[in-house]
Amino acid sequence: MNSIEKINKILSNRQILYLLLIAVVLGIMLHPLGIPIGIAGQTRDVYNYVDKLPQNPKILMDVHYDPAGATELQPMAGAFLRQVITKSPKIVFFTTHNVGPIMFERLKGYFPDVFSQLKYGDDYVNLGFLPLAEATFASIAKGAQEFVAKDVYGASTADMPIFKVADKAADFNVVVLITTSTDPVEYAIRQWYTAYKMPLLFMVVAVIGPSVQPFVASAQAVGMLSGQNAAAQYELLLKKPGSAVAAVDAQSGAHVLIMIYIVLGNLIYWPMRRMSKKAGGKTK
Amino acid sequence: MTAAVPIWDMFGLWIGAALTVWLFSFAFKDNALYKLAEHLFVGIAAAYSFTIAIDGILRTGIAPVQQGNILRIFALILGCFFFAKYFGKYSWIARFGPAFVIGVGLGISVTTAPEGFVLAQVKSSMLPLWTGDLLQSLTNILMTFIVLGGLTYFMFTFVPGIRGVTKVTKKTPASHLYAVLVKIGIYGMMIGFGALFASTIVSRVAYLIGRLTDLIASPEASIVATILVIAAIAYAYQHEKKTAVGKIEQKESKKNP
Repeated sequence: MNSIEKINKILSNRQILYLLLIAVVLGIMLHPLGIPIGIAGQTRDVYNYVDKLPQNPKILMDVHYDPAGATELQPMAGAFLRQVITKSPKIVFFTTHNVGPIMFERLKGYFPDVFSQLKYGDDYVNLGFLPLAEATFASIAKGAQEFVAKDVYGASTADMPIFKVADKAADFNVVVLITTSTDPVEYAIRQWYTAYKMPLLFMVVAVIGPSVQPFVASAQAVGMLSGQNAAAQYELLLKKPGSAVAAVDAQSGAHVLIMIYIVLGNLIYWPMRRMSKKAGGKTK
Repeated sequence: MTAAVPIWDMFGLWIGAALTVWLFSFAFKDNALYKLAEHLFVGIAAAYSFTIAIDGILRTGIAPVQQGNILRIFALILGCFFFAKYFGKYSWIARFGPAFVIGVGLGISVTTAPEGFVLAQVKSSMLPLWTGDLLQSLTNILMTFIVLGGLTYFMFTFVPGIRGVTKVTKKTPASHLYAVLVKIGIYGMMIGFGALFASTIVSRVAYLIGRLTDLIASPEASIVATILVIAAIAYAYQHEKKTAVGKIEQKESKKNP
């Protein structure tokens, strides 16, 4: 085995890659590098849009994420709530992800400064898990209170003052979809934007960002925050750096490692191919 | 001095850290602790989904009926039809539920999909090729050509003789244009796939950061779980070696009794 083959064997070793990745991420998390974070135009647009919302905005929020997506989405949701709390909002929360009720409680736990300023039933309500179906989105637009008779805690929604001002599609100033999947995005476009022209704001994990971007480009959504980087930018715009800002350094470190792997892999590929051709075999 | 963490919270942190380390261990080698974590996850997820489903029926099905929304009874009856498949003779009734769900879903999406997904996207693709701003104009031109190229790539019947449908007898300007647009489409899509792949890496790294953040929050649990998992992996290697040696010995004893 020559040196090229040895390097190829090391690069192809899954265990070594995992160890390096964990070491790089953990190392940078413990000793942050403080790489400067630039603010993207799209993040600034979202910040400005939220800033221009009227006093007492009525907001509909779908908490559609699981613990895996929480790293990217929870800081975004928290930053958004911190910005909007200054306007005394009325927020109707629901979730179309079956882990959503737990994630909502975690959101409450991580941002007590936000929720301590809101009174349950008057300023916010949690409708809990509703099935991820197009009919759910259509029904909420027609009247959230009538659709869901009891909230996540089993209390009757009929007696809650919030639904006097934030119930039907026309009542809401903005709809925020915090999601790890494109399904709710598509349902929202069809049932909320196309049918009622409800302003949509997407907060998505980076992996679905490119799939959601066309809806923002076509002005079917007022904006989008995609991935941990956007969450960090939003936190910086709010001047309240949080977990996203802390994580972005480690994210950059991991990306550098992967880029090194891609470059080395390609550099090794050519001599390997030449050697394989000489030996009359196929390239692995 | 740090505030005392309630015992159940501490227990949760330890369990979370241990399960994270055990599940990560699969990247190195399958072992007993990984299997334990995996089975725990499947069992808990099934039980959790069951309770969430029951809760959903109570809150959006039965509660509205109790409050006088009699029409929801029909939804509940349709839901009950799903159980008919367990009664052989009447199993055909189970088809009504899915039929209704599919029918309603299709009905409400068909009315809005053309406007939301086709017209709006077509409209947003019609970009001015010259805006006064050079960079924006170049972006628009590139975007327009990639859209045209992508659409051309998926047009299989318009120009015969391309891509092995039939043999090219004579190259025409139309077939040349077609070939160029197809190439632009391919490169455009490759760039798109590259962006998607990069976004996937970004998300996966974020998942890792999330898990490691939790592990840093409970370092003692992480260290103990890591020691346990190293022992489990060592045992798995030992076991594999033994069984492999055993199999070879068995084979040899069969060959040379």
